[in-house]
Amino acid sequence: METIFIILFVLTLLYIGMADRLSTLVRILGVQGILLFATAFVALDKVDALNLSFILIETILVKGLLIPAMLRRTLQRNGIVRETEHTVTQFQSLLVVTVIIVLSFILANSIHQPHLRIGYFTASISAVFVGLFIVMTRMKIITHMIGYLILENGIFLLSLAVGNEMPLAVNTAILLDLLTSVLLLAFLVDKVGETFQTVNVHDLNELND
Amino acid sequence: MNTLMHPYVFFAGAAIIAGLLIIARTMSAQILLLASYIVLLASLTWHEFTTLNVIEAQYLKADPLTVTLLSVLTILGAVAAFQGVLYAKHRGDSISHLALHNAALVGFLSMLVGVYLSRHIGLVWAFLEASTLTAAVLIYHNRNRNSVEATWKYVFVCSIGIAIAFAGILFLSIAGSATDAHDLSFEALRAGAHTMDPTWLKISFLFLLAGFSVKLGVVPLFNVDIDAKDAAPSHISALLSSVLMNAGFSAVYRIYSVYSGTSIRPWLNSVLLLCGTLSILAAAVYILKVKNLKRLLAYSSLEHAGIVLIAVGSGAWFAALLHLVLHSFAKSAMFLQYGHYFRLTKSKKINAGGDYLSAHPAGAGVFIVGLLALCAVPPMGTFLSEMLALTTLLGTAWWWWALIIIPLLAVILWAMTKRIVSILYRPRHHTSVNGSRATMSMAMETIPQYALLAVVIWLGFFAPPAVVDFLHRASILHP
Repeated sequence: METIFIILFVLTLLYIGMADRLSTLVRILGVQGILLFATAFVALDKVDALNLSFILIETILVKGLLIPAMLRRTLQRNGIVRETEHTVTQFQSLLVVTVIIVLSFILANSIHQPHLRIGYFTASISAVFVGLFIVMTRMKIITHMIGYLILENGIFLLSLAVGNEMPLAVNTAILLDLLTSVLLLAFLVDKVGETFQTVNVHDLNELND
Repeated sequence: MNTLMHPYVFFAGAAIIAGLLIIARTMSAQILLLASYIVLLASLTWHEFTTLNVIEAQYLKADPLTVTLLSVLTILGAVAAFQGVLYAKHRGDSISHLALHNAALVGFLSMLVGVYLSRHIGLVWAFLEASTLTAAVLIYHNRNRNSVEATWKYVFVCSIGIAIAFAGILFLSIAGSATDAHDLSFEALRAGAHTMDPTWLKISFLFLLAGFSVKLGVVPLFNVDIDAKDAAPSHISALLSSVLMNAGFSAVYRIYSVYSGTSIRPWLNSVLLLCGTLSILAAAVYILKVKNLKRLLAYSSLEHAGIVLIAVGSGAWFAALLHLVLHSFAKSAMFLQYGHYFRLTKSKKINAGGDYLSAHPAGAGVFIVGLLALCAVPPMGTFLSEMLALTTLLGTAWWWWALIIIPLLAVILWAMTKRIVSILYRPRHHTSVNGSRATMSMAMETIPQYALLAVVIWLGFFAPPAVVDFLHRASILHP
C-alpha cells in the first residue's frame, strides 16, 4: 500500500521536471500535500487522535490547500503564467530529475540501517534534490519558492522515513514556523514584483560591494 | 524569588509587551514598554544565573553558556532598543512604523533567548527559524529597493539553510535510533553519542553546520547575511552581527559538544578549522575590494566568526567564547557609529567620507578604538582571545594552518586600517554636499559606543576572577 503512494510521489517529481506552466507546478504541489497525508497515514504504527489531526492539518490543510491557494493568488496578482526563461530545456530537466531519482534509489539501497524505511528515504532524498535543482535552474522568484516547498515536502517524508517523532510542542513550533515562513515569502514575492517591476531573479542585483 | 521569573513568565510577558507595542500610539508608551521588556530580560538573566542547570518547562535549561550569552543579549538589546527610538526620531518615521519595529525587536530578542535556553535540538531549530522570521521584519524596516531585495534573499536562503539543518537533525536521529537517544535532548544525545554510527554523525554534522552557517555568518551561506547587514538599519546590523551570531554559535557549539565525545572528534576539528579558514579567506578577498563601509564591517564579522570556529577547532574553547563576546561588543559599537557616519555623509560609501576627525571628533574616536578592537591590537581584549586561539592552534597537529591564517589576518588588518584611516584623515573634496558637522547631541550619542568598547578592554585585562571563572565554566563542553 505504501509503495503505491511512494511511486505516485516520485511520479509527481518527474512531472515537475517537465512542467512549464506555473499553475501546473502549483497543482502538483497540492497533489503532493495530499499524497503526503496518505503516506503518513499508512506509515503511522499506532494512530492516536491528536497526532492524526496534527498530520491532517499539516499535510492536507496547509500543504494541500492553503499553500497552493496562496501561490495561485500571488501568480494572479503578478500576472505570471509561464516559466519561460529556463537555463535548461525540458528534456534536460527531465533527464536530470530521472538521474536524481535513480541515484537516490541506489544510495538508499546501499544503506543498512534497521530502522530506516528505504522507500520513503528514496522519495525524500529525490524530492530534496529536485527542489534544489528547481531553485538553481529557474529564473522566477516564485519558482524558487516552489522549489523550496518541494524540498520541504522531501524533508517531511524524511522525517517519516526516520520514524523518530518529535515531541508535540516541538512539532507545533516547527509547523508554525513553516507556515509563517511561507506566508512571509509570498508577501515578499509580491513586494519584489511591486518594487522592481520584475519577477526575475537576475534583476535582484543592486546589493553588491 | 526564584520561581517568579520562570521562562514561561518571560515568554508570556514578552508576548504581552509585543502586543501592546503594536497598539501603543505615543512615543512615551513605546519607550516605557521597551524599558519594561529590558527589565524583564535582565530579571530572566538573573533568574537563570541563580538556577543553573535546572530543567524548566521540560525543554529549557540554563547552563553558564546560556547565562553568558543572555547577559550580552540584555546589554546589547537595551542599547539597540534605545538606538531604534533615536533612529526613528532622526528619520521622522511615523509612530506606527516604529511600533511595528519595536514589536519585531522584542519578538526577535525573545526568540534568541529561546535558542540560548533550549535543551532539545528540535526546539533550537524552531527558535532559530522564528528568529529569521522576526529578523525579516527588522531588515525590511526601511521599505526601499535594497531592503526588499535583502529581505527576500535572507528569508529564502535562511529557509533553505534551515531545511538542510533539519535534514541534519533527522540524520542524527537515524544515528540515534539504534541507541537510547530517542528524545534528541542534548543530555540524552551526549550520553548516547559514543554508541552511534560515525558515518551518520559526520553526515548530520555537515548538514547542521551548513544550515546554521547562515546564522553564524560563516562559509558556506554567509552571502545573504552580508546583504542583510547592509540593508538593515545600523542598530539592527549590530544585533545581527552580535546576538544572532551568538545564537548560531550556541547551536553549533552545543552540537559540537554532543559529537566531540565520540571517535570523530579529530574529523570535527578539521571541519571547523577548514570552515573557519575559508571564512577568513572569503573575508580577506571581499574586504580588499569593498567600497561600502557597512559591508566592510559585515565582512569583518565573517572574519571574526571564522576565528571563533578556528579557536573551537583547535581546542581553545575559552578563547572562542571570549572572542565571541568581545566581538559582539566591539562590532555593535562600530555599527552604531556607522549610523552617525551615514547621517553626516548621507552615503554608505567609504570615499564619501574623509576628514571625519574634525567633522565628528567623538565619533572618530569610536572608529579608532573600534578598529583597534577589530584588529586585535592591545589594550583591547580581542588581542588576548585571538592570541590565545592562535597559540593553541600552533600547539596542535594542525599548526601549519596558522601559516595560511596569519597572512590572511594581516591582509584584513591592512585593508581595514587603510579604509578607516581614509575616512578619518583624507581631506574632503566637494565639501559642498557632505560638509555637515556633528552637533553636540551627536557627540553625546557616542557614549553607549564608548561604554561598549570599554567593556572590551575591561573584560580582556581587568575582569575580576569570578567573571573569568564563569566564562571558563561556560566554555567547558561537558558540564
